Amino acid sequence: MTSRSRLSHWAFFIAAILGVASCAALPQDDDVKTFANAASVSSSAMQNALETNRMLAVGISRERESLAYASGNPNYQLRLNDQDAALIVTADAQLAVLAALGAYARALSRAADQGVTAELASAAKEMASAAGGLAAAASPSAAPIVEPAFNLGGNLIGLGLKDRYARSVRNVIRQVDPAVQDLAARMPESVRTVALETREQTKSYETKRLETLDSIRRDRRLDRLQLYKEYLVARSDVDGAFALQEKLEGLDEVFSRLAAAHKALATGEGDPSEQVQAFASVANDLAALIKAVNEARSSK
Amino acid sequence: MNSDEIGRLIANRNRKIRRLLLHGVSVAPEAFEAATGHARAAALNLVVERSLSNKAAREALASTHSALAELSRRNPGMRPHYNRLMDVVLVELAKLTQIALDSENYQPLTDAFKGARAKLDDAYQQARKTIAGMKNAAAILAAFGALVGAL
Repeated sequence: MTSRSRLSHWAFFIAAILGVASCAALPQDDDVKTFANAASVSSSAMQNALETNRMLAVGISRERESLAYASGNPNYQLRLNDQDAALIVTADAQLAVLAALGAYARALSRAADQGVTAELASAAKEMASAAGGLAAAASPSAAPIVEPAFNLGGNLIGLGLKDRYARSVRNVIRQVDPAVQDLAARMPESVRTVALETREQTKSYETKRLETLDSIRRDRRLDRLQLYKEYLVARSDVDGAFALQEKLEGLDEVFSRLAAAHKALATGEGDPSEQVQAFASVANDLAALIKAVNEARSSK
Repeated sequence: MNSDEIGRLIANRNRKIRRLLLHGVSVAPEAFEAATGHARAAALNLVVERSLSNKAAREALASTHSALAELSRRNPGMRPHYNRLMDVVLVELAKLTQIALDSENYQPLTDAFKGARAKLDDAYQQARKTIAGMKNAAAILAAFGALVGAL
């Protein structure tokens, strides 16, 4: 086999194995962005709940200790005691699964970028065009027929690669969809578990602030303006804590949005039996082609 | 501490709180009954289930805590006393919250997301490699064509 015919053989071989495929498309950019956004908000939901839990535990401790100090109690502390620390809960498994979800969403945003498929198509076309140029150089009289043929081959390669790539991405989305749906169904309960505690912590914080205000007012040296200012500060702190709590209790919607967004990504054309490996084999075929071309060149 | 013990603890505490309350403001005993399903079961003449689920125990403790908070708001003179009681209830609620969170198994989902991420990264890397490979091949073919043309 001459080097020219060997090149043609490889180019057409690739066109043949890749070109015959039905069209599959990557998920729409907007759908991917919607999901990535929902995943990001969901990831922060538990984090917010735990931060609120910690903040309130610290707030309750500060209130009690500052009151002890201001009241002349010698047993005041400048740190959390065991009882305060016991109020702080941890949710490592929940944070881990949400972090994994976030990482998956980021990987999906990158993999589902339409630019990748566009580049696949244009690089394939460029390669086929170069192969056509080679054939034309070797046999100028055949150029009018050979070049369009190679361009067509390039398009087919591009279409095949795009299709395989889109399928591999789609398949991953479809495979992981049950896990996303499961997470969206279970995580609201985990957040509610923390939110039930933070709701009661908020009430504790409120009553502690009331106790402090009572104590401050007993000091006859303070005038009305000072008391007024103290009240406003306390009121603002307690209002803020309740507002935060309200936000935590309204997080269910975030997870239903996550489930819906991923369901939209998972429903799409494509063959579920296709694996990412199918795409990897294409890359290997190309490596073989490059090797063959290099060998042909060095034998010249 | 199992759920029966937690149930007994809450019942004892509720009895104490009830004794403490002169005006019967606390809704905790009723909430506790509702949480155990005792009242409903008794109304239907069924065998009463005494064990509490973690969730029911947390709801009962939260109700007790809420009732104490309400008492603290309404009775400035007794506020420090109610606040101390609230501290105790809150610590118990936190302990049960931690048990509830620890008992949830998310590991299979974590593994699924990690696997999916690895597959997507792999597909993306393969695509980049393929694009680079094709560009490389095009350059080689063009150079080879020029060489053949010159011969």
